Order: sequence, then C-alpha cells, then structure tokens
Amino acid sequence: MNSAEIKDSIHELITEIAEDADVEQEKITDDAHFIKDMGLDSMALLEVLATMEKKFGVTIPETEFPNITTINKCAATVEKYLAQKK
Amino acid sequence: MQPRIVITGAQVICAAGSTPEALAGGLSAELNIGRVKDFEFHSFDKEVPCYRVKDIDPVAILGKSGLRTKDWATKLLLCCVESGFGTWLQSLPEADRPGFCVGTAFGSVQSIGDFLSDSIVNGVNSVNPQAFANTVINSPTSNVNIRHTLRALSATISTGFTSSLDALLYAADQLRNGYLSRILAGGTEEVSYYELLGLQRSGALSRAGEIKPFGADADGYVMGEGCGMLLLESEAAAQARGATILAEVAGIASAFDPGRVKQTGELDRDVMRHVIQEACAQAGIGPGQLSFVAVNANGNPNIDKAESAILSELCPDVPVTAYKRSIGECYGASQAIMAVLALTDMRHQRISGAAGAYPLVPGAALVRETLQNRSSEYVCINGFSCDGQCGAIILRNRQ
Repeated sequence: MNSAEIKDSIHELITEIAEDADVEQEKITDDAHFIKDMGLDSMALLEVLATMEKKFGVTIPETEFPNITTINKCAATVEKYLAQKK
Repeated sequence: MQPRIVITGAQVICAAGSTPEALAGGLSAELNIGRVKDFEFHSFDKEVPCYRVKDIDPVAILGKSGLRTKDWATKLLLCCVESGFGTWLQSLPEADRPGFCVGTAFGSVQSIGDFLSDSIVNGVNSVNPQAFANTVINSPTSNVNIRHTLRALSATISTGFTSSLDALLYAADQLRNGYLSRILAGGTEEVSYYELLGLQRSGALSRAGEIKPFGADADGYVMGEGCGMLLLESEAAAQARGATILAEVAGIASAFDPGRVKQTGELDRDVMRHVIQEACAQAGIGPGQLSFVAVNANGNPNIDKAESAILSELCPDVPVTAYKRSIGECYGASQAIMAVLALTDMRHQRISGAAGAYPLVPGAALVRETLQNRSSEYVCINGFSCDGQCGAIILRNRQ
C-alpha cells in the first residue's frame, strides 16, 4: 500500500466518523485538527488508533496518541511504523 | 387514595407490524418467521427460525447522525420511541417530559458478546472503544434518555420473560406513589446470536421451527424481537393536558417462587393463579368478567399446560388469544408488545385469533379465527417465566 492509498483509507475512516458526529463536509480536510477543527472527542481518536492498527497491521504505541491529530499526521504515523516492520 | 393510572399513547415494533396503524387490519394469518445463520463473529451450522423486525429503516426514522455505533437493540428502542412519541416529546418543556422505564431480558447482549469476541479473536487493542458504551444492559434505555432529554427517570428492568411487565409495574408504582406524573414504559428485545445459541442448547427452541401456543404437539418456541412502549400517566395529569385516554391500568401483579420450579420442573400454579386473581382484585372484577386473555403460552409444554389449567379453573368461558403465534417469544418485550396488540384489538372491537389449525392440549380454549364486533372492557395479559417470575396486567378499555 503506497502513501496515497494509506491517506485515502484514513480519510475514508475519518469521514465516516465525522459524518456520524454531524461534522460539516468542508471541515474534513487533511490538515484539520480532529478535536479543535472537527469537534471529535477522545473516544473517536481511540477508534481511529484501533482501526489503523487493525487495517494496516501495525502496532502504534500509546505515546503516539497525542500526535495523531490530523489525517496527514495519521498517515505519517502509519507509514513510520510500516517502515519499521520491514 | 392512589391515583388511577391511564395509558395515553402506545407504539409497537414487532415482526407482525411496526405501528398500531399497521396492525389495524389485524394479525396476518401468514406467520412472519424468518431465518438467521450468520452474525458478525459467529455462525450457526444451519439457519435458525426466528421472528425478526424487517420493515423499519432506522436512518429514515432517526436520521443518520449518531447511529453508526448504535447496536440493533438500541435502534429498535430509539425507533419505537421516535416514531410513537418523538414529536410530542420534543414539544414539551424538558421539566414536563416523562420518565423512562424499559424491560429487557438480554439488552444489548449481541454487543456485549461481540465486544468480548473481538478482543479474544483479534486482541484487546483491536476493539472499537466506541462500542464499549453498548456493553451495558441499560445502554438502549440511556440512549433514549439522552436523545430526548428525559431526566425524570432512567430505569432498566431485567427479570427475564416478564421484564416488560415488571417495567410497567415499576412505572405504575412510581405514578401511584406520586413520584412522577407520567412515564414512558415498556420493553425491548433483539434476536441475537448469543440468545439463540443458549436457547438452542437448553432445548427451549422448537425443533420443528414453529411456535404453537397450547399446542398438543408443541416442542418449544421460536425467538422473536421487537419493542412495545406505553405512555402511562396519572389520570389527573392526562386530563389536565386533555390527552385521549386509551385504557386504564386497572390491575397489575407480580410474584416469584423459584422453589417449585427446581423441585418439579413445572411452574408453580399457585403463583400463576395468584397474580391473575390479584390483578383482577385490583381491577374490582372476578376473572370470569374478563373480556379476553392474552396468554403467555409460547409452546413450552410445561408452562402452557399449567397456564391452560389455571385459565380453565379461573375463567373457563373467557376467550383466550395467543399473540406469540404471530410475534414469536419476544422475552423481555413480550407483555409490552402484547399490551399494544391488545389495545389495538380493543380499539377495533375484535379478538385476534392465533393462526393455524394445530391440535390443542385438552381444555385449552384458544381463539383461532379472529372474532369481530367484540367490544372488550377488561383484558388480562399474562407473563409466566420458566424461572418462576410471574405477572399479570389488566387493562380497562377507555377508548
């Protein structure tokens, strides 16, 4: 899976979560902050973390939790741990 | 003097129909038995018969927002409340909104089991934390409280087969004691893998895949699902707001005796007799004055036999109907759903028949063909559980 595919996949997940939380479509951008810009809560972020681990087959330590705040940062984090697997 | 408790609203979702209006034409002779085999984490070797709710669309009723992580048990209850009472609830000031009380035997057991299965199969880090909120039995109730800002009461009653009857009893007690003036009360139950598996292993489910209340060759029941909700109010509160009164909760009784069940494998007939007599006494009538009885009978040979004997003894000339033939055994939601069906029958001056021509146990007097032009004043709804919990509720027609 390449970088674009990883980002698309995360974008799709965030869109699903955000739409359920009534977040306006235009607020869902690659650099929008999940909490400050979209108004998601910490439970949603935990779901993002768990889903990324399952979907991409990586283990992301909890210390990364504060860093997964945007779609771009999520994608970068996933790529970092995929690279470590190789 | 304790206030009279009246019913001013009713809504139902079950395999036989998803509104009282949809059931206005009566229960269909076609039984709505479906089949399930595959669930998210587990599968049965072969399809299992069950009565499932098919004709509701939660997104259409509730909107898309917030539904993604809600389980089916919660959606059933949310849909029932929204479609039956949503507009009215939103029109009330928050302080005037009713309390909320729901009976359920299993609640969100599918979510509970799936959450555990996911953690065992895929590891604890893989579970969706958002799904955790579904893993408590009062989750469906609380979701309704939150959606409609019902702050006065949030109660989940779980007493097995008779959960919704006990929820109605709990609500009636709250009203009689003057703690609240109105409560939305009833029951909800979903068909789940874990219930079906347990019931299958215990031998409770019909091997023939047919539910035959009072059937001479009955071999168990077929699981059903659904939700029934009643708006209970003190008569004074209902009159003060000019509400249309559908019925009065003229009597309601509950009793428990597990000892006899353990000793004989049959339900204690004294307890069954007691709850009917007590509910009738509260209504100021004798059992023989009942217009009809909506029985608990579900094809469980022991309990059906005992209920038939008790009815033959107490009210041999009173017509008896078995709604479970059309809706399945809805466990904790049964009596609430049956109460809505009984209200619908009373409104349309009929007694719905239990479809089919299967042979009955000796002495059972079951209405087979729907009786039309039958006005009813007092109707008794029974709930008898194999674990010893028994109850009966008497509705007096005010329509």
